[in-house]
Amino acid sequence: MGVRLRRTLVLLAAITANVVELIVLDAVRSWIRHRSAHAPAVGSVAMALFVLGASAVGTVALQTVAREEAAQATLLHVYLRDGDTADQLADLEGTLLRRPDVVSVVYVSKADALREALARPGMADLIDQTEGNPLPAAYDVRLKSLAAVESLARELSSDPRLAPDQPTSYDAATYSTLQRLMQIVAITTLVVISGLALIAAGVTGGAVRAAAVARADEVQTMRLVGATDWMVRGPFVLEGAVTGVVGGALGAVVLIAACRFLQEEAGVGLGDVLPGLGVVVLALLAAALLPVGACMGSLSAAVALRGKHW
Amino acid sequence: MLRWTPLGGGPSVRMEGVTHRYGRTPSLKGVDLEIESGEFTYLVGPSASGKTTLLKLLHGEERPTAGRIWLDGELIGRRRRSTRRRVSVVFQEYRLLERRTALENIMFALRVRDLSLRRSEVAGRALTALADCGLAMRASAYPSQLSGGQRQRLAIARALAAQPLLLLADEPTASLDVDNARRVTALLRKIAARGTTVIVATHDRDLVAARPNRVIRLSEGEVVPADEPQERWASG
Repeated sequence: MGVRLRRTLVLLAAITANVVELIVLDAVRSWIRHRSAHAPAVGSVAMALFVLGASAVGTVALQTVAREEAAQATLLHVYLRDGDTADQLADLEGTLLRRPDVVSVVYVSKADALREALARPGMADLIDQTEGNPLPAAYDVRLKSLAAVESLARELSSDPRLAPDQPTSYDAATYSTLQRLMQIVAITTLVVISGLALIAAGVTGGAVRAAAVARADEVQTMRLVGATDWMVRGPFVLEGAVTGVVGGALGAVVLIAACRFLQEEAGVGLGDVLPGLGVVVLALLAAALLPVGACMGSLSAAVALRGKHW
Repeated sequence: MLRWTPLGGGPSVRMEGVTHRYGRTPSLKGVDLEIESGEFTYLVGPSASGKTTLLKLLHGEERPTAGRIWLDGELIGRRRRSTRRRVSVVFQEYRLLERRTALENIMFALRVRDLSLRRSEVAGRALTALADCGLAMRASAYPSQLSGGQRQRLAIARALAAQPLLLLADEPTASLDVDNARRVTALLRKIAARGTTVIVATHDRDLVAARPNRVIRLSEGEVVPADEPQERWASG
């Protein structure tokens, strides 16, 4: 058993060494030899991946903002009519707490509401101009989802126990505008990335195909001395991957430089300029561009060589 | 795998009713032949007589339209890759990798054929083949630094290092002067004498006539019987 295992390991080591030498190193050497021919493809990949990285940075920031907004948005202020009796309030509180989509209900008296309002910048001047305490008492209702907020706000819109002018803090227009804006940003980003990825794939595939044509004699000789199809195609696919990795590295460097520039211009921390984006997250996003580039380059090369016969 | 066991000996190659067409144009018509192990055979005939097609069929580059081919008793079927591993080819135009040295050319071909070979074994076989072909001192030379004769001997060394059952040479002396052509032929004979079956396709009548050898004549895709006059194959 030990001898068989040793033989197998020796065999595997030999195969690995040969594959590395004949395919991986051959691809890297060939890429270095033809680096000027690959330069346009590297540029295209770098640009596409920079935009991808920038979109990812933007997405992280937007998601952080959206999460904060959503946390805020699932809080519905239910404004009470002045003069509600204790029984009416207890009844309303009981009704709210019985709903399955309600997480919590907190009573905010008129005095508490005034104290919170005065703490906000600019509100003190506005309140000073009015007589007494203009703010209503309220229930702060935390709900499970945005959809529940809308549903509860609709149900309470004609409740006689609530303030008649503005029964709740729900503003349908603001919600729909915010959601539409986020959809537009997502679709635009997707279209731009797809377009750039297609261009990059086309240029990378073209460069690899040109390299294959330039080496046609060599490839034919390889075939005649016994190279299998994957051994012939492998180095070209890897050349595409190298193009993708180099392009990804370039894109990552530009992305980090752009974020640093933004940070220095703003004169604050990275997380303040782009919410949710620390140094570690940015480094991870930039590093992810390399494997993405490798996949992009090798796939482009594989597609470009599809159906090619030597 | 279907095996054909020959009576009393070990033919290396057997073709039975082999026909091949390029589209509608026939290139070989019902060829029957047998070649013994270790035999040195000339394959002669005018241009377009089917010599190269016959070599391609034996190398597994082409498939017969009809008929069957056995190599060392094994039917060449769909497993053309395994066929290629047992057959080596030497071409008129050498087909060397210009960016690799003489030694690297041989090592590359060996590793490409068989990924399980260890580097030390590959290097040993490559150096032995170079020495056998009189190129031991040119191991680190690039093909562009070698003469035509040396390049062809390097191509033979590459073929030889693979330890093939069958060595096919397609016009190996066509680009060489008389002296180099004789050296290359002598080398191929030496390889045959060691037990490798060698088939040489050639136009060179002087080369064929220089020493008695088995000669298979092809004309218009058919094997010309040995008792027919030579003019029929030499006219091209």
